[in-house]
Amino acid sequence: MICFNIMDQNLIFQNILHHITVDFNGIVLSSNDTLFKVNLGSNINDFHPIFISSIPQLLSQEEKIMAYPGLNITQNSTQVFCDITIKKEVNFISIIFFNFTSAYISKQQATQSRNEKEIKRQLGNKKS
Amino acid sequence: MAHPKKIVLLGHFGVGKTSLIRRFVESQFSEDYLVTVGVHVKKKEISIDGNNITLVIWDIEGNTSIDKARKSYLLGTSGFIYVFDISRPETFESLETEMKYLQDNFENVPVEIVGNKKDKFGEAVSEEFFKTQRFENCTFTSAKEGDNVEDAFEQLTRKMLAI
Repeated sequence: MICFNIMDQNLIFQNILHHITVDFNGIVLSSNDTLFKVNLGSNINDFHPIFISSIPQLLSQEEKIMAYPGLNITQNSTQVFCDITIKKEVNFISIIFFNFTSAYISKQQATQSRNEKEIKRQLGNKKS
Repeated sequence: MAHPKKIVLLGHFGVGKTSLIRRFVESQFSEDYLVTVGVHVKKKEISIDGNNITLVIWDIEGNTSIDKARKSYLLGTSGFIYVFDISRPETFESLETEMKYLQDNFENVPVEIVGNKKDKFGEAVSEEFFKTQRFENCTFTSAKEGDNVEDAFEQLTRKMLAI
């Protein structure tokens, strides 16, 4: 049986997982700052506009978890693709970012090639 | 923050959703096509009739039909902009079906239908074709030249405020 202690988990998830907690007004309570620098006491809406609509949506519905795959986040000219999960807890909201940048870039390259061929085919069909 | 409203752009890949948003939010345009994967979210503050509105604009990956879009992206939407490319019939041949899907699943959420790339009218695309009743509720835009882009977003915002 393999057991991971907290230190091992931090190493395993370094640069992959970022965890932020905010209050119901979006004020940042904690951040482990593995992927981004997020200031405590700042508003999460200022970090990324997705939260402007997501947090009110989460607070207004019964479902306690929302997930957004493939969120593009740019900070200091660095672009990252994350799957994010937002969960309503009793007194705060938990936001987890999973860094899947490599996977999404690969997907982007494959999709780019496929879409360009299809667009060319459609425009070619129209001309003929 | 003044009256945040979530707007989601829908439509096939390559119709110009990202370009329309870039033109509206950043006043920029690029001829290069770069596919959108996942979702980009942009914010723009506008003022209409004395009301300050924060538009939170979701640019999602293109889909040949709306039912293929990730449901979480569409949840809580205040208004949709459905974009098609006037030079590619495949992007508007199912327009009626798509509008029916939105009416059935997002009752009371206003939709602005946009025919993009109007700079191609006269080139290989007949403008007369789009003057029929089928397209009478469409706004024709050019993200490249900036034509009617602000109008499309403002018209949708007025519809959202009217509800």
